[in-house]
Amino acid sequence: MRILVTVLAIASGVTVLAGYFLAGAVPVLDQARFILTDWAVILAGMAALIGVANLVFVHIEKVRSQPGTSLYSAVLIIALFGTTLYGVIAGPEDSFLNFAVTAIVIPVEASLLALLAVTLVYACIRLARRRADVMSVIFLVTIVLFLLAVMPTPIGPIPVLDRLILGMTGVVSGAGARGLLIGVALGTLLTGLRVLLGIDRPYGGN
Amino acid sequence: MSFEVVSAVIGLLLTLMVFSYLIGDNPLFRLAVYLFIGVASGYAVTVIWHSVLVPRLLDPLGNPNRLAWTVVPLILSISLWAKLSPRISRLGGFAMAVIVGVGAATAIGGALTGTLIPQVEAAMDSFDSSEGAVMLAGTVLTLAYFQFGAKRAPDDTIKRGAVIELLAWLGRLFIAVTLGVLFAGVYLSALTALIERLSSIINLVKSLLGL
Amino acid sequence: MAEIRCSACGKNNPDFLDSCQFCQSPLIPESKLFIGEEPTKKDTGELEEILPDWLKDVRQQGKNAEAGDDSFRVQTQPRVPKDEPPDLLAGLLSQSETDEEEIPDWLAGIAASSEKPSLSKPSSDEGPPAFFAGLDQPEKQTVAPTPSESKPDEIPDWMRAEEKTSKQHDDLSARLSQPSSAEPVEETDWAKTFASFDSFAEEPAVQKEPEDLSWLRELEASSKEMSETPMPQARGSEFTPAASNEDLSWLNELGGISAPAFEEPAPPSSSSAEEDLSWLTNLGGATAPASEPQAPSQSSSSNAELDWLSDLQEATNLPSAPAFADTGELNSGLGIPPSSKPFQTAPLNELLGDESIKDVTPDWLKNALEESSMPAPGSVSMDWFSEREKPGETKAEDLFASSQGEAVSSQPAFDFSLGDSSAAVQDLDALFNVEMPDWLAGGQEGGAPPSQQEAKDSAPAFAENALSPVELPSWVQAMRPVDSALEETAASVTDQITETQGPLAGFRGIIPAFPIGSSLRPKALSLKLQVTGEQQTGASLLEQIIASETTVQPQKEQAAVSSQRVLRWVLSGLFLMVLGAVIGLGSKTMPIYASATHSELSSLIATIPENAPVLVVVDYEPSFAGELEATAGPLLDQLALSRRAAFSFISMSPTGSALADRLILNTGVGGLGYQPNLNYFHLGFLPGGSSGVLAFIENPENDFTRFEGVILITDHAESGRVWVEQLQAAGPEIAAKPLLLVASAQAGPLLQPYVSAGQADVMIHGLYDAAKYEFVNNSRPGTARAYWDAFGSGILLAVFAILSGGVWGVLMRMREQRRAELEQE
Repeated sequence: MRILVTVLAIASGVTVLAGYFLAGAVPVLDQARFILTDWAVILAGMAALIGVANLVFVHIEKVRSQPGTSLYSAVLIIALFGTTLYGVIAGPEDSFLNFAVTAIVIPVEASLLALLAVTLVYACIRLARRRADVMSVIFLVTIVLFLLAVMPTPIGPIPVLDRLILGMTGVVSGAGARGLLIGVALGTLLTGLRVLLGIDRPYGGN
Repeated sequence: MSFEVVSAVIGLLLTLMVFSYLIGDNPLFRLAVYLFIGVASGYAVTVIWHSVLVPRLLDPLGNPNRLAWTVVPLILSISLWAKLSPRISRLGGFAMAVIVGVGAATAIGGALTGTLIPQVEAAMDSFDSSEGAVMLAGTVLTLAYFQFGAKRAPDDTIKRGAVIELLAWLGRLFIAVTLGVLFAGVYLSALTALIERLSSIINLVKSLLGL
Repeated sequence: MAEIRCSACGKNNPDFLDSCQFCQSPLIPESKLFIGEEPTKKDTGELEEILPDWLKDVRQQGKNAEAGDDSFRVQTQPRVPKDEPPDLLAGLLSQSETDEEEIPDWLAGIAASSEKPSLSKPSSDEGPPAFFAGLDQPEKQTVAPTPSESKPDEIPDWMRAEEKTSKQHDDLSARLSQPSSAEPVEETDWAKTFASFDSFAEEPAVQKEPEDLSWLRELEASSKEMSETPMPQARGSEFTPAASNEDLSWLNELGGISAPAFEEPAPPSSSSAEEDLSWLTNLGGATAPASEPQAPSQSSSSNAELDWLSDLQEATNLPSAPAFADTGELNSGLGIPPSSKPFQTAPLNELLGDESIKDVTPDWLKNALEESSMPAPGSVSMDWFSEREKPGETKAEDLFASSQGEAVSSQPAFDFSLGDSSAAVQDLDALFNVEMPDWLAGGQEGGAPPSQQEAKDSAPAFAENALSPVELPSWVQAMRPVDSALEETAASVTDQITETQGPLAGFRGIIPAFPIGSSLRPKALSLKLQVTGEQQTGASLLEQIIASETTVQPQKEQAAVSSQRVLRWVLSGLFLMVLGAVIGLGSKTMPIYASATHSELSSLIATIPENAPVLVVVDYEPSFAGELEATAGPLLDQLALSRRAAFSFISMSPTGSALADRLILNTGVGGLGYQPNLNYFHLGFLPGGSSGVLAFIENPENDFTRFEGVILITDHAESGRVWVEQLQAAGPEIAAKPLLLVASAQAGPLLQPYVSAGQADVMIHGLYDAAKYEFVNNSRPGTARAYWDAFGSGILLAVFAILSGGVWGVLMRMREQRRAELEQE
């Protein structure tokens, strides 16, 4: 069975990958590629549902095992089931469902990100106090200079500093970002090839 | 009271509950977070059901022309639920194999044709200017930092070669600057979110107070 | 040409090949013995060279002794056929007469004494030594003066203890001696079943060396040889090889010796302590040689062994075996010849009276020297052997013995293979069985008639076996050892287990320490890991990491309100107050300036046809909604206002559709008369990451080519990278479409290379860009401008906090250094 799973993964991957280089040349390959990607989308959606189901099971177990201290889990389960039942019936474009997103999801999540502003500044201060090596100094100086360069002032952008700093940081950070992107691509290539060659089997074929 | 006002009031309360974390971890913060997770998950289920499963899996079951191509993902989707049980989790291996195999192929194709080749070409094209030279040097030095090939020294320590070590150190400078810019960007995003939240609160208060 | 079909791969091979030319498997499996097959005897003469020197010498001496006896040699040759089970020492017959090497000192003494009886063997007329003569007259042997009387000092301590034990069983010994007196009367019957005495005579030897269960291996051969074996009566008078007599005497004497290795005292010797002392008389001379020539005699001719075994019939002064005292009918129905005393292979040094033996003995033999591997002589089934001579009783048992005995007789004295130990268990099981198995009962018919074919070769003799192979259970045949098994199963005698309970209590090595058949299994692989130095280093590093993780570290006691918490409170209060004040006041004092980039963006948007469908990828989390709505607002506003573009929203986030509605609402596009499903559409949610994007792009139903432009609104570089990659890989037609990136400030720097490389046309990232573009777009929709002053204040606060924190840190560090310097001073 493990061999079949591995063969399925490799075959589906090779078929899709071949479509990148033989697009249009082999109609059957294009068709197979489309079917496989469509299946992958369906399965990914089902996997997301299973993830939600697992979340429900975890919190239900939490409610059962810790009845006194699982108020938050109960709130989560109630909110989840309420939203799901209503949403499946009414559809995602329902106004009340949008209201739930607008009134609950976006404020909470945006507030969590807002907390990050204070936390990041706090982290920079601690870094400046605790660690004073070359890289930390360069890191902190870059942050300060970049913020100064983009900082609105009553007199507009800081003269010279705006273009100079943005130009420098843009070039240097652009070079570093390109290196990082190429590195990420190489890593993706390597990881994908290991999967397609059957060396890595994250689908449980080991 | 309009729908928007109620939504804004709830959003205000939840924002204050989350902001209470600045004082310290507290039940209000937890309650807001758990509520958010529940609603967001329920909304995700709704969207997946209506946007993915119904149009791609259930509707084609009624279409004889597409039935054959839908039975397979239907079976695979059902087998994927076996992942929830450790005893029969192997049954979900086929579905995971399709997800992983197709995902790996698309990642390879995209990385190769969408990032690796174009970015390398761009790095070479920009070599004709001083700015391009710096970009090229920064790219090479950054990649050199991720060169982890090393040899064992006589004192049993593992070290990289001297040239690679120097290039890697210079690469760290580029990476430090890049990460500094990224950190600043994260801060700006967070700051904008904070401004947006404060703006919504203040505007709501103003509207409620008639200011 | 004949062909042999390979049992492994099924392909045909020429018959002259030993191994398959395709799979290299042996065509004639020699090391495997299947049920129902007869083992093939091998000429192991080539193994001669690997034998220890001392053993070669002993072999040579035995061969010399045999050389003088033509009749002995005649009977030796039939033993060669391959039908015989493998015998390690059998090949020694092929050893050259001149192939003698220097004899060790300790063996030189043995050889000197052993040559005498060996040389006397060719002529039975010369008669055996005095103690051999007693073998023919067992009754006399029991009353013969023992060496212990003349040389008491030579008796080891353990022997003296044995003497006491022996005396405690005088009654039993006397009873054992009675059947022997009646033996001459039963000589004819005994001659018919003399092989049974072989088996029982050697039974202790088998138990002595559990690994040497040759009786089972020779089970079939012994019965076969019975047909060609001369009448023991005649042979006893005519031939009676001296070597056999020596063996007999040696065994006879050893029968009264209790092995020191046994925990329980050995049963009393039937020959009493005096008899024990008699063998001690020949301790340094006849005893050891008598045992050593046994090996060649076994390998050369089982008939010769049968001769001396025939004499064993008369030696009934055997010790009783307490452990077998209650073994039922078998105990009471069988007698035991004197030669049933086992080979005393240990302690040889004590037997030989030479401690130096240990020094010159090979390691593999030292175990035998130090500790006896056999049960106490005569301790096994001796008493029921004593009653064996009773006529008319338990004929089947006799046959059972006959079917086993010869095999033992053909075994070398020093056979350390453990392969037969499993057979020993079977032997004991058979002994304890009250009712004889059918196959043994059947063997009675075949094994009983004596053979009159002395001149015949052994091959015909084997062909005329009275006990046919098919009468043996297949499992017995399958258990018979083969060469490969013998080689693999050699083990130390000390590995054997001494039984502590049950009827086998006190016996060592009766039950094998390893499961039956294990010798046929492939060799076990070493479980020791082959670890390189680098792997060891990694393992130690991992061990350190784990240890550090699991080590309990005392937590530093912190004050209820730490300075860090105060700092965080101060920062939080500062940010909330300053930003709140700026937002609350509605300050718009900070100017915004346009840049060339944003002018280019406006020009690009102008190229998009009116009412053209534009794909808007809403790929951000709700937390970035505030930032990205402000950032994307000017772009969408311009498209809607100037181009009246039809927006199609799609998202890789489940909340994408809700965010899209909110985006339309908050960017002012909704105020331009845009209606859902009319001016803008929700294409849904794309799960699966890059797979979902590819599926969407290639889905013919979507007709991706209809979009005149793509606006990617993203908050993280990963999703932006996926979209850029898949659009680039989708083909030149799609890649050529305008791609406008709207990114959050955190994702912009990593997506900038795509813009630099021309993969994306333009990018707006963060509020900084959005404010400038909004300024170009006539300050529409105005969200960025609303945030702009607060944005500047927040950046200023951050810069101030970081700088002040850094300065504070430097000051604190300098202060600590100065304090440390003061303390040092």
